[in-house]
Amino acid sequence: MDRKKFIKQVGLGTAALSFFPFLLSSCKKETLFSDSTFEGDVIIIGAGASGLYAAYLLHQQGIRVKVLEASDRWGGRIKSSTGFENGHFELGAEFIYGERSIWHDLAIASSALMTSKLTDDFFYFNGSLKTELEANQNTFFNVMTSLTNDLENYSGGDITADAFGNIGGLSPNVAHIYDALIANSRGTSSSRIGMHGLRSLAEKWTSGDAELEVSNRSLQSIIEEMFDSILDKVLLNTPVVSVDYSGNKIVLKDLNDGIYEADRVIVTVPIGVLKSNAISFSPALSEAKINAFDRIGFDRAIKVVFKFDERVWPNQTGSIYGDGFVPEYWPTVSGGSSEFLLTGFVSGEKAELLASLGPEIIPTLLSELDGLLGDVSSHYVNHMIHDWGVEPFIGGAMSYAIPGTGNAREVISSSIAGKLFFAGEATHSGGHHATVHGAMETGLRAVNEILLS
Amino acid sequence: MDFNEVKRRNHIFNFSSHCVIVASCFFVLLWNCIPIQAQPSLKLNYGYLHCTEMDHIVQLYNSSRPWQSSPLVPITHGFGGGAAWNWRIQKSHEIHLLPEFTYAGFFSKTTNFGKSISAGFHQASFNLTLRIHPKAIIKTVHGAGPLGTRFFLLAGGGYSAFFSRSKINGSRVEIENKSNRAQLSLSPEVRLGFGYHLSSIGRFIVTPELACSWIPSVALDGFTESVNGHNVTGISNVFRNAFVVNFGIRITMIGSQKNWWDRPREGDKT
Repeated sequence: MDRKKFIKQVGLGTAALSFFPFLLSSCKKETLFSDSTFEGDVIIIGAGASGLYAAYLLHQQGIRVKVLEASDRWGGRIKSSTGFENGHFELGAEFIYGERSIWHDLAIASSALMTSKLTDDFFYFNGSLKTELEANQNTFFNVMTSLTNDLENYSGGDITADAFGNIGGLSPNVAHIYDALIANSRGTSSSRIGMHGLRSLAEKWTSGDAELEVSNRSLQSIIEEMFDSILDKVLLNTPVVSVDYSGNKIVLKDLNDGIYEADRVIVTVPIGVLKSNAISFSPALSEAKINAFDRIGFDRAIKVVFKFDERVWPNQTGSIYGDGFVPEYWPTVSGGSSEFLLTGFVSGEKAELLASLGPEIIPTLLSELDGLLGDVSSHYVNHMIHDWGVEPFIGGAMSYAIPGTGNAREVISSSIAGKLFFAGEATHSGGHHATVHGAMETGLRAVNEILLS
Repeated sequence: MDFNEVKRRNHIFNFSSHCVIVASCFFVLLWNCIPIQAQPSLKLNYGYLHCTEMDHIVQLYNSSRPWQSSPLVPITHGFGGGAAWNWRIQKSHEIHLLPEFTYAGFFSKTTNFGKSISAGFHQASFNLTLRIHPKAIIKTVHGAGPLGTRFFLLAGGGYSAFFSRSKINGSRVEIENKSNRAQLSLSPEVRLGFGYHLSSIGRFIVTPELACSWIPSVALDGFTESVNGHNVTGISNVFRNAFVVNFGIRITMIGSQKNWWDRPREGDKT
């Protein structure tokens, strides 16, 4: 072989060799579910974010799926309203937490316009409303913020946040702000939430720090658009009352004596429903699982949305932390409403207290807002109250860790007999509970378990 | 009020001991190359990665986003280069030693609805590679040229440092905040392959090489989470038994010997 011929052959060989890896890589699978051989029927109980997303994933894989929803709508704790006519606003989940999540990507795909929540916060204590800069001049305020910002380094026992505050020298002057920051936004009160749960949340959170609002459409419309292909699989007004998984087929019965059969069932109902034993299981769930239900907190929460005829809060306001019934208010931009809307959010003990006021709720809160922001009552136009504590088939806002929660979320999320699977935000043990994307992630986990088991 | 600041988890065990090993290798290399007549070389390299866990991370991303029309391609292809010194350590059998630093970047990227994500890792290695002709193992070779026989086997090993990197819309994802250390891992590497001194251009010799590296274990903490935002399916961030098939073109500068290629060499006959 002469040299030229040799070089030519080696050159061709090299080109072929370098092309070979690209051929090989085309054989690599791009999804996890490519290997699945499961072909049975799946029933999902609950048409919230977790249930709808799980149904969507299964449907994409060609699995026969049905969703049994107790209420007359889908979305669960995503609930949008058009009550003030000129645009939507959120009565339930409102913010998209973090830019690294399925929920964020779903919103992007639906052309949702997301903006960061404004960060100019105001704090009411010592008789006046203060900017963050002014508040930072106060020693008690600084002690309070150090307590709320250093949760991942907490090394004490699993006590309540209240007890932790007392040990840490929390002043009563700013205790209401502490409660708002550490507990109210997590659906409860500082006297109920556990420190180990808070630490776990701070340690495990991996979705990013952004707090985003969708300004051009409602969250419910995103769900409806993106999961359009499976909405006809959802049977509304079908509250499941029993699940019998003793036989080859799982048999479900609804309140109207409807009978359904499936090979696999995913239970995505809120933890409040599981706690209330509204669904009976046969064979009965283990003591460990039932005990785990009780180790997860699930409180009442109320959202009050006020409409004013002009902006009654400082420009660029993020949140306003008051010392009254409602720990936190924020201007609402969600859903594209051009009205002047202010949302108040209260949960846990204070929500129960507020609910007890009955018809006096709005006058009381307007008076409270007058004290915070000056004369706002004269600009009041309308309001809407949404009490998640009395929402049918939900009965609360979001799960939270009480002292002693420990591994309860892991226990709840474990499947039974390879047939019964659990999803929903409360079953998320990776720090994303109480979020929409956390709920969706548990739906993914359950689908993964079914398809790859 | 940043409530979700994540505490960095330090999963890198014996990090300082790894650093000591790598630093020691570096100084051994320097100590050896300065006084001896070694030929410097540069290499351009393509690597094909086979790592099941790494594939699962990308597969999870795609599985959970069926609405995206452009899936993220599994992290497979890596491009890079290296610098080495060719040092003949045994004349009669033409055994050559190559202390070598290499770099390769393995990344995958996709954009959907204006949101881009890229995921992958940088690999920086220090390897000591022996080059020898198969027949030279049992018999002597004479006058094979400054780089030994034209065809050669290579075998060696060393240490690789891995840095995982994920970006969303061009911004780096920080899972273990404040420090990159937890996204760094060091692992031993074993390499086997062969090469051929193809041609000489003046004082430069062109050598294609094909080698397979075995990397027993790499722990890139938080990598699954940085790509997917979660790890609910429990994908391991410890990547075991990763294999990289490397194809590279090395250009070695030889000393004063010109037209070395045209002169017959005993090793050529093999």
